[in-house]
Amino acid sequence: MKAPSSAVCLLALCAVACGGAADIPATPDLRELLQSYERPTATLDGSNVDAALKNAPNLQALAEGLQAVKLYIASDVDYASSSSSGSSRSNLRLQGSLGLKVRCPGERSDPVYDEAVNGSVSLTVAVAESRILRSMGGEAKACVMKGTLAGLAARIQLDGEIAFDLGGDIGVGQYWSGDLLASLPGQLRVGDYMFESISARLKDGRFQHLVRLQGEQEKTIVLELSATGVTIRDASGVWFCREGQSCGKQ
Amino acid sequence: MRQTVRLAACALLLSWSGGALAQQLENPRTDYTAYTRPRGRASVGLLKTDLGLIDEITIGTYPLPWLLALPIVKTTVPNLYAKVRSPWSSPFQLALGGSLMYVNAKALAQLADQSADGYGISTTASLDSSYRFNERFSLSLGFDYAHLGLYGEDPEASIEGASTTHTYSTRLFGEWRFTRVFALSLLFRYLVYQSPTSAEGTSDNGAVMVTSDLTVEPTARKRFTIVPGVSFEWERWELNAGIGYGVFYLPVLGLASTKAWPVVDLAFAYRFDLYH
Repeated sequence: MKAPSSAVCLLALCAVACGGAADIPATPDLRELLQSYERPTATLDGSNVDAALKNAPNLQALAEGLQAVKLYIASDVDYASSSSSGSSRSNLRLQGSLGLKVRCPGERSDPVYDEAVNGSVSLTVAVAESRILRSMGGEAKACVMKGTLAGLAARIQLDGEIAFDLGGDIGVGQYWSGDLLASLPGQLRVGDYMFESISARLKDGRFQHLVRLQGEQEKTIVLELSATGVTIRDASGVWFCREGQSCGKQ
Repeated sequence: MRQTVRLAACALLLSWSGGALAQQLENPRTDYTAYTRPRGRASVGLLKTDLGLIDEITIGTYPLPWLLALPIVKTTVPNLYAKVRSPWSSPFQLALGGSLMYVNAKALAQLADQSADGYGISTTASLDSSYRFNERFSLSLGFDYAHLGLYGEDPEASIEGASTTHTYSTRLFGEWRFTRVFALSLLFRYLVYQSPTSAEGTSDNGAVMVTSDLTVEPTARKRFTIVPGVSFEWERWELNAGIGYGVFYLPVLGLASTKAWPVVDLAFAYRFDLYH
């Protein structure tokens, strides 16, 4: 009796251990940050709204930096999506992970994809139910990209941990054209500007930046760039600040 | 009229049973059972060809991948199988079987992707038991394991990787012999488990390298197959044919379809003795 029992156990073990679906990697949880962008918690008044804007980082430079990051990340996610699409059909379930090693192009007009020269970005993408999950994380190592600032070419460099939210899951084989929320606990350099431990968001084509007000731990406002000025959203409403003028509540 | 035809058919079938069933015991059905070819006996068919090396060991091959693959994939697909039966003489028999098939890069490129470069290996294993209740009726229970691995590399696109999957299934096969020539059969198969297909690979376009660790599995899985059939064992020729419905197992590879299909089971071969 011993031999058959062992054989049955082996068969059962193998059925579990020899196969099985690929693991779906853990991804950064950016839901709280997204919530902060949707619902800022600080309440400004006429006395402190101008100061809040004055203390904000250079929004134009930050926006250019985020646009450059989006440009490269979008093409890399699209490549990962298309390279996995061979396994995807409507009656099949695809899951697992995609590891992206992005060689950064550098600041010159002709890209040099050499990580020793222009650095790299590593990203882990999770795939579940044949969809690329919206949240992904990784690390940038002195990743240099080309961007523009005030109409001129600018060097953009990304360093440290990175986390992105793509605004929604993407079907494998489809292209990403949605929003982007970036959480960058490391450094982002845009020309001469240095940003540390920041987040920024591109939503419906508009650039947004979350500001945690000094001295008020959990109080936040959202700054949004527009063609004519800066919009500030707080818990009570929206302020509009035209360049060179005081902000007014709308 | 219909009644008359039925009676005539019955009379014809019964008239074949005169030689009793002795010959049938010498030429047992070898697929889905634990039985093997007698020593020196060969069976040559386009779908399956085998030879009894000794009474307990049969080796064979599926000629179709060797021959018909040539005009399609411009190369041949070698394959081999073997079955070893228990040595005792008793109504109860056990057998172990296995097969190996190799698909080279050229065949893969023709079948899958013009730019594909790599190879595939398919292995199967089976454990069969058969019990002959009497000269007319035998029942077989079998377990099948199949594994398919595809391993590729495309230097131009810098794509390399592997895709593997394996299947466990079980089957019950009954054969009810009416005459020495004619028998009815019923095959019932149950797909115990088919692994998600693992697709590991790396692709690199110069700017980004994507390393994938993915599995693919069907969103819905069918498990049963039932195939009623008939079997004819003439002196030199043998024909086994069945039509049923359910999960379709890829010939030679043994891997199961995700959906239920009409299933055709066919074997036709010429039998002769090479040596005694």
